[in-house]
Amino acid sequence: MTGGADTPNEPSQALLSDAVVAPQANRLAAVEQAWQNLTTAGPILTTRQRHEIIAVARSAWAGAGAPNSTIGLAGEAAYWVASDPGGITKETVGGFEARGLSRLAYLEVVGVVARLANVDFYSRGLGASLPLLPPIDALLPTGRVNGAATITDSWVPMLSPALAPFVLDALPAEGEALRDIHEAMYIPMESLGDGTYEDELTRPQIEYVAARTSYLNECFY
Amino acid sequence: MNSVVSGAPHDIRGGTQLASLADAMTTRTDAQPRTEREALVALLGEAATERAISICATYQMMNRLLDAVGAPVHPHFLPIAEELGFHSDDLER
Repeated sequence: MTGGADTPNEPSQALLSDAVVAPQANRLAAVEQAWQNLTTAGPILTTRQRHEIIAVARSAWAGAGAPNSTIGLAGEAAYWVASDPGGITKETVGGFEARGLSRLAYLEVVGVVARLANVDFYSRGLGASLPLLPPIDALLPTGRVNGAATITDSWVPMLSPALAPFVLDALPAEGEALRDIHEAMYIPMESLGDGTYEDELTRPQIEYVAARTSYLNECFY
Repeated sequence: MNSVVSGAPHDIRGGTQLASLADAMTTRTDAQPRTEREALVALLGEAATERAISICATYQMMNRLLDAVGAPVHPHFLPIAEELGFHSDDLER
């Protein structure tokens, strides 16, 4: 099988069908589910807005420069989450809010870019083409927000102190979608604390890849 | 801990190749890690390589998620961060 290009695949092409290294079945299913969720309306953002966020994030990963004034607030936030999340500060998020991007809308942008990173980096890593955006549907945002969420120890509303993978739970469907892909791609939730867990890799191999990636991203959580 | 920084662990099978794959996926965000993927397949096989790619991709997600929401660094991890060469003042959010 030949490797896919670093470009979106054809509309009729199944996700990851041109991968050089085949995806495991449960992870292929998780990517398909994530992609379907990412490309339709969310709790606050429309389908069109989520598509724009995906396009901006992909441009950032392709080396595009800082966003221009026509990109919109959600797009601007998406650019920074994709390209320099460690450079975001509480002042950055406060500034977005002052300019009209609510903290819950910002949280949805963060969730979309983060899950897109999982889908796109996995696809590229396997040697597959990136998923192509489908036509924009007419669905409206669901409006599903957990009203009990408040700002605790981070910059956005949460239901508890910040703890991965629960940081999106102010937007319940986004939180569920995060856990769906997190569990399939990393380790089953019930095995997170099991130091003897192993599958195709040993636990030390798994944690070494995680630690090296986090080190390069300058992330310490 | 030094092996996380150096990318050359001596006590993890395939550690150098795993580090090279993570490096390529993290720093070359617009290209496929062809050479690094092939090296890992040759050493550990396709299934283990697919697994390593899934873990690296997941941490691209989690790192962005936690950084962008301002999740505080747990005090437990501050000594580790300093051991990796980062000053605790730089980790204040």
